[in-house]
Amino acid sequence: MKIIFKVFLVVLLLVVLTANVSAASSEKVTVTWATLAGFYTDWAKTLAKEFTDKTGIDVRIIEMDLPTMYEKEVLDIVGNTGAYDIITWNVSWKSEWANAGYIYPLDDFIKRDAAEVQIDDIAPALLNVSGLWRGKIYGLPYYTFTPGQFYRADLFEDSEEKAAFKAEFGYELDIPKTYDQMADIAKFFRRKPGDTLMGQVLTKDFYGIGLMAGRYNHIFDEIMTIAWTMGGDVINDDGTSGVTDKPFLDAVTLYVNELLPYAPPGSLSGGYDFVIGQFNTGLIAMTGPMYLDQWPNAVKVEKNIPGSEAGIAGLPGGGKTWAGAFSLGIAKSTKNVEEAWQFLKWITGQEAQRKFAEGGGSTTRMSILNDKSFYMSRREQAGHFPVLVNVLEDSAKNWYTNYIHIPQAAKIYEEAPAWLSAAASGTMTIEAAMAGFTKAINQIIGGKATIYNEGFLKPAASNKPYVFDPSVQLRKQK
Amino acid sequence: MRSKKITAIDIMRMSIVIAILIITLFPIYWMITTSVKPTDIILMTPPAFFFQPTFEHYKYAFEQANFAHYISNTLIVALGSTFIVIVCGSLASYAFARYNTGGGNLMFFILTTRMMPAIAVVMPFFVIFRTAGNTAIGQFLQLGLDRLGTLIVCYTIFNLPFAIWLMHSFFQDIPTELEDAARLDGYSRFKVFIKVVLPLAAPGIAVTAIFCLLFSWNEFLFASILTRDVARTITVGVGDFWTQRGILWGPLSAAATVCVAPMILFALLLQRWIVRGLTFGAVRG
Amino acid sequence: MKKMDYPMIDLTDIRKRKKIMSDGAYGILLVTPALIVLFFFGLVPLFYAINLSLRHVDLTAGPAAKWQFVGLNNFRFALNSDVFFAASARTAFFAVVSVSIQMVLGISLAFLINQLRWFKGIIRALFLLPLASAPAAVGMIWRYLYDADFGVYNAALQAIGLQPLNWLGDSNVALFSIIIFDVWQWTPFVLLITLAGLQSLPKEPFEAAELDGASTFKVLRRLTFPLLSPVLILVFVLRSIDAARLYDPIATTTRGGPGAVTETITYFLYRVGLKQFRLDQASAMALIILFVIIVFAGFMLRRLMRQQSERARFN
Repeated sequence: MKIIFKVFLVVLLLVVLTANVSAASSEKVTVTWATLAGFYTDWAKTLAKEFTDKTGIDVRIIEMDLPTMYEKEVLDIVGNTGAYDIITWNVSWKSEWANAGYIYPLDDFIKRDAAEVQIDDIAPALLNVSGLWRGKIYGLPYYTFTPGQFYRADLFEDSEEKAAFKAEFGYELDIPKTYDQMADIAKFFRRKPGDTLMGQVLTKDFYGIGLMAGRYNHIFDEIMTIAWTMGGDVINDDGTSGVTDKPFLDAVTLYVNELLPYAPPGSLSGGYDFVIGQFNTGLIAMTGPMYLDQWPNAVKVEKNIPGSEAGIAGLPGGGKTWAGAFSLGIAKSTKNVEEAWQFLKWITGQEAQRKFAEGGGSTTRMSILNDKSFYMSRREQAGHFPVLVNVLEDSAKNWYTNYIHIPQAAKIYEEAPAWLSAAASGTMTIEAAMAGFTKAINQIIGGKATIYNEGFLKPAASNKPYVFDPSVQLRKQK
Repeated sequence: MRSKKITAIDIMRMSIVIAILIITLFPIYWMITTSVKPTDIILMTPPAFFFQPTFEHYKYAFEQANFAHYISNTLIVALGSTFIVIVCGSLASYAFARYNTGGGNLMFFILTTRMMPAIAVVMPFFVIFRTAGNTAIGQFLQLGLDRLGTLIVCYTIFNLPFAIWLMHSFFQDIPTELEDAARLDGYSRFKVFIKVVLPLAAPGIAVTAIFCLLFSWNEFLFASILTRDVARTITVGVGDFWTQRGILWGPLSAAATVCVAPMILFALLLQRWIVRGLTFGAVRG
Repeated sequence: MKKMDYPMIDLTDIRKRKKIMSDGAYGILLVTPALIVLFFFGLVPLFYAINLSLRHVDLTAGPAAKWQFVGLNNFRFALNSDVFFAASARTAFFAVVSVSIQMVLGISLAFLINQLRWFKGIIRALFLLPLASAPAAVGMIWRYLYDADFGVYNAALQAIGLQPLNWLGDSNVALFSIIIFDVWQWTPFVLLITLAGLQSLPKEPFEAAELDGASTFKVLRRLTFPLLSPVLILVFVLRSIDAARLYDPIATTTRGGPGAVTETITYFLYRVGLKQFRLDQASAMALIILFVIIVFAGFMLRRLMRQQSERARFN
């Protein structure tokens, strides 16, 4: 036994030493990018290689899953380890980091390299929400998850169903223009085994709507979407918490009492992936507010359910809902600012974004989103582009929230799921849950938040309310 | 002499155990089958039991997601920390059992180090290892952030109290007459420990080793916080499959299935020591 | 089988034998390597955490933010926090139920397996599987199995004509779903350690009892369990301490939901410390939890430790 131990020790030492050797740094500059795991990073790795060939700058991609990305990035930028040069963030994180001075303003770089960056080509709504802070640009969005709605176009256009709907509710079955209409449709399409759906008798339950009501960030996204269209906001103009005000309470009540009952039971523990799974296995008639970048997964219903068609629409309230994207910025703790900027410029540039879109990524560049010849020929990857453009253009004009202009946005974002899930699951009454949420918000903002919205125009009240124009949809070829 | 007849109770016992084993292993079975299921039928109601298997998930996990690297990292960290724990721990444990070093209090103090909720310790560890990584010795011993040495030290700390306490009870069960006899024969205290005590305590030590390996294999929080990509372990690597396009169930199951294999191997290997310990026991009557 | 037969020796002879160092010192020598590691990595973080708990620390407030000394504010906040108490009570409930089930199941299985005639080794290795796979992956598999719409468990229930459950979404069921998961994962732990304990029991007392014609029940009560009790108590304490630190299953399945029904103390602390980044509050709460666990463990182990001090030879 002793001999085995001795041998083992020797081997272990050797391994440790050789590992040390291979980690020795080369002479080249290496830029480290912390980002989301998955398909987009696979795309990014190929592009990174092209970048290295072009510029000689090495790129090291460190992927992580979204739930842990926040704390890992914070620990490194706050701890000043300099490990990450380029970081990826979700909308609310930027407010916190820009305010605390952990990321670089990029305006000078953008001005210097304006021809390459083409900043005007990036959807203004997205740049506003995820790149700007107090008038300065801190990051460039590269992957948008702006929401819309997916629905079963074949169901909505079936003549029998339409007749039955009109008989029950008194108006034509169509893409919902208000959330009350969405509630009606959800109720209408909730069927039990033995009921008929499109003339066929069902053997299992069918549900009217799919919601992301689990204790994830998504439930906050869904409810905020509804609240904004009702004129509510998370933070009022005077900096106090708005979640106990009537519009927000109405939104939660509608969500819990008029949408959730018609959703599959799995919604209470599900996120977007389960809702899309419900959609593309034919379990639900439509989604609630859903990230449009999920289109390549949602469209699979057409393969799984013969004769079905996946439709995309803008949500009631259109651009007033919200626009969102993951963005890239440069951490202040970096040692290679210029090289980091070169890569950032590259990955958000025209060429890289086009390749991203070719693979099914939801790019943030309007020129690609508007490129008809591009999306017409690839409906399964880019069929949602026209709807996305429609929503983004409206967003640029009509969307405003105080919430993203306060530095504590990220903390509120992380605190929300606990309370909203309590309301949704019935473990707390809606009033009690929102009261608890307000208490938590007050604890975070210290009673009153300072809103840094310089340079942001609130949408003009005279702007026409949004109505989704179905003519922009890219329909399935019959 | 035990009768060689197979009794009904034997069969019943076996049946009960096998039934429980089947129920217990069902999730594992599901994991293995999901790893060869084509992606499109994974989320299907009712669940698909019969299908044409595919190996694309394994390919993805190892080519795209770099899983071989994570597995080798985890192996090094688990084996390294377990080795240190068993060596240091068995010595300390024996001292507590035979010489009652420090009364019961020292042992209790050692156990308390395991009681601290991990969150409170995350920051200090982050700072300690970051600082260590900036020194020359630290770099030699691979002690910086995102280095394997850090995780080896970390898991040693976590498993040592558990190992000491567990081996302690096994050392106590060894009758002291045997050690006395060996001392009479002129053995030094250390030789007694190595030649007499360790073989008899082998079952206990083997079990302790298995669990130390397991705990290192399964640890998530510190592996997540203290590593980036160079020293990433499988528990964190599995998170790579939680993407924005949804959870990649296929590659996830494939990766998890591959991770199970080394542990089974260790368990079977360590069985030998358990059996060897038993034959010693038979000799002593 | 021969019994070891030695002449009666005065053991004081051995004790008086000349040694380079006394037994006590030798004991300390053996313990030193382990202690160095544990002292450093156990005490330094403890003092760091105590320091954090006495200050106002918001890690995302910017590099210029100072960590002001605030005395016992964080402790006061923790002790006044409903959420903290709810999470603690929930965790205690979870620990009691889960560990009890694990102990009963694990010990019963250990006895069963110990008396098997065939395939003991393989079965023992196979029972290790629930613990052997990466918990994050297994957690997600269970998430999938538990799903109310796609999950196999509901499909199975429906196949035998029972009502499907909303395992992770029903607030009355969710915590028990987590308990089932925990029992599944950790019963092997209890099982294997008890089995090892059973297999290292000395044979003489049992042979003597058999000769005396004692019933199985009496043997169990008077011989087996008392001899096993040190190991069993230890396993119980270890499992209790670990059950209170439950994190992975929650993170991969319910994330504390629905509502806060499955939010254990560790998950709550993770939210406070690594999402809100209020490490001061998290440290204060962690220290309170540490205190409670120490008291509990100390109480449970006191008898055990006294027993063992007496059994230790040179004292």
